[in-house]
Amino acid sequence: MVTSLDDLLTQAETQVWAAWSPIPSGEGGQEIARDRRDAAVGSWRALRGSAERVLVLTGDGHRLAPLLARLDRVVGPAAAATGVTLDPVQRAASLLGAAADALSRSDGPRHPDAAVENRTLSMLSFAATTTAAYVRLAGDSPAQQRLWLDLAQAARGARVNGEVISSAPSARPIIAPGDQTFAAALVRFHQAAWKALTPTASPSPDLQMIPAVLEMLHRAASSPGGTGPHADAARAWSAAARAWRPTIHTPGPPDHGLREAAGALRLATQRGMTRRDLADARRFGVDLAGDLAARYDTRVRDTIRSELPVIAARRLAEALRSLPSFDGLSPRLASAALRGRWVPLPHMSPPAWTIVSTTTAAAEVYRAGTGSNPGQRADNVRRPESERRPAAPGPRRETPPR
Amino acid sequence: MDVNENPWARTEATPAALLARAYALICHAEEAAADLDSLAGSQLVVLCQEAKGTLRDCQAPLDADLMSVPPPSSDLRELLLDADAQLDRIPPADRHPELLLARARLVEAATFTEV
Repeated sequence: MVTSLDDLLTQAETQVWAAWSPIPSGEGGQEIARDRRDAAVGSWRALRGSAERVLVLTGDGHRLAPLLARLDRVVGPAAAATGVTLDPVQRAASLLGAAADALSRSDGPRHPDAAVENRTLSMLSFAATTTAAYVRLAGDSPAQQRLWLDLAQAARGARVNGEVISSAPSARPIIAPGDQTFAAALVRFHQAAWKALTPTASPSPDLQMIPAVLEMLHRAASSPGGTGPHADAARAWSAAARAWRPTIHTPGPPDHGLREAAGALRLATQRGMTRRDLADARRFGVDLAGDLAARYDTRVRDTIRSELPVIAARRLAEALRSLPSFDGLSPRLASAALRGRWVPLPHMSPPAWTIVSTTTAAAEVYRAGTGSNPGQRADNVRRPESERRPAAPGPRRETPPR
Repeated sequence: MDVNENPWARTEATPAALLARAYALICHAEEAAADLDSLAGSQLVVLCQEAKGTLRDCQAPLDADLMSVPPPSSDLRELLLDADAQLDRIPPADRHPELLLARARLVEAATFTEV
């Protein structure tokens, strides 16, 4: 029995959850996908109406305005055409409508409610992603798929995740809230990554997204062909990212701002990059990425030296056994390995050396040589004031073992 | 755990166990995506990291054994679909609201994977 706003939202989430089921591959799959696509698209009229009511009552109208405008643009013409609906989504829309009724009837002044807002936006994001998936599996054009994927990203990006931009307001590049261009995504990522690399007692596990995103950007910058200095940089970052996986991680607080910015940039690279986007990616790879890389390198060294990451004990035992000087596991490590435990990563262990050496090698790419991208800084590239940072960190405090 | 025990053979189906399996499957999918050595692969790596981050928000346990031992399948798409299937087995009453976002990323990864 429904007893609260929370219950209504939970039931709506359960319904939206059921909007996706994988399409069997093979004969008949595309026909099923077409039916699901029509029903999914047709359900958006009701879902949009109810979700908008909840968001208007609980969210920040100014921040949500670009999303609501996008909803109108995407859903309006598409939903009117199909005439069929997806039952779970229709039920979710009814439940959200009931939630909006409850919110509008409650006594007292309206207050923003980030939890309700975020849950509603998550439902919209999931529904838009599944619609995009059905549109793709039905064989529709990439442009149609992008409409829904961009809507999903916009809903995710509109969630309340805290302040991301750290520079003074007057120095920020001017980016409209709903701007989903590649250039805007690039600036947002750089700002979020820069902020995430500010030293704290407990670094976020999301910092591991930075080498992965730099690899992705350099791969994009090296296309077509996948050769040249950007390809070298991509390989270096691939090695730096891989050094952590899959059994080393840093326990710490999430960095939602970095995660969302990385996700938006990832989607922007998947959207089909224009020549201008590629030029922006190359300019970033030559100019700003070097500063970010140096800052990341310093942060990784500090993290490793402080032995903040943890490693699967079983993996550490394997790594130690491979050393020529190995003379047996400590009883404590042997016990932890048997019990499937995590243990602090010793800063003088082979996995730690690998992390430090690969990260430094990737950061060195930007300092190497002259006359080649990205080893040569493009000092003639005009950067926004907020992006002009001290170039490299101070002298190295630790030399990676060879 | 016995060193010879296969952690993937465990049959426990509590929400925590299902979350742990999903997280570990995504970790292995991330490795498979990195092996593609391509732009699409690196995009998938980022997408996997997004999904992992969301699962951490949902208090997914990080199982050292599951992450150390390769799962039965090494096919990227199968790993992603299996991770989604694990989440789908969590009873509705035990689902964290953020799980919808993790699923959205898995659906996106499995559907838009160009490999």
